[in-house]
Amino acid sequence: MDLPDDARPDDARPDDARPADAPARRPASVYGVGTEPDARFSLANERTALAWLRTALGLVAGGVGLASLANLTDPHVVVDVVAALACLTGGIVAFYALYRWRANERALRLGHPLPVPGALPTLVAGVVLLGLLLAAFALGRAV
Amino acid sequence: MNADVPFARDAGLPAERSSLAWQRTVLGVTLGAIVGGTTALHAGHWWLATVALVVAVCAVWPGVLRPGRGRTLAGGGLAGALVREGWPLLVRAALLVGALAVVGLALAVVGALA
Repeated sequence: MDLPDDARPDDARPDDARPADAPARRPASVYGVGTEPDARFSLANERTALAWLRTALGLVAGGVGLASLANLTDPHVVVDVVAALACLTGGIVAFYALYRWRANERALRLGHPLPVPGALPTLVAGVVLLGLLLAAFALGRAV
Repeated sequence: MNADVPFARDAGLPAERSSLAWQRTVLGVTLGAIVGGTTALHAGHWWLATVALVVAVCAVWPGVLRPGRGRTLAGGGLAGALVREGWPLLVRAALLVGALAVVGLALAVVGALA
């Protein structure tokens, strides 16, 4: 899909303006549509995807840390369950990062509004739930 | 701003920020893999430790993830940054985080069943 000239951002340019010897870019579902946005926007989108990846990594690292703690000290099944849930959620968020990058890059190329990060409230609720579960477990052990 | 106009350096340093974001991510994956691998070794699960070691090596191996290479806007202008796209690198990074998640999940399941 190509935008009319008056709807195209000032700094956008057609994809065929790239060097002729440049390799074909993947995925075609992204680079096959729209016009080339300002490189700074694409780099910002990449950093956003990396931020999602690091969020996923934080969950996975928390899960690995809890599993390590359970392995090295007095184990309890609740800690293992929380660790497993954190790792599972982290794995899902890692691939959600790819989905978000693709959706954002398509929107940039097509001049559409950026899509809403719909998974964010779910992720926040899940992290709060895991935190409450761990807090309840710690209180139960302390009392 | 017109992307075809050459300039010495962008005030927002987007390429440099992106390189640092890549380096933080690679460092995080490597540290997570080392912690997971150490725990797996300590618990006697050598196969999980092997997976974690592979993740750590892949994260720092330049042929798998090359943070920042060829992305300097000052050298080639904005068009220079567009020659190399981030998608294949993002997919590899997501796969490494997924592999690390599998290691953590396996450690938790093995620990719960023990």
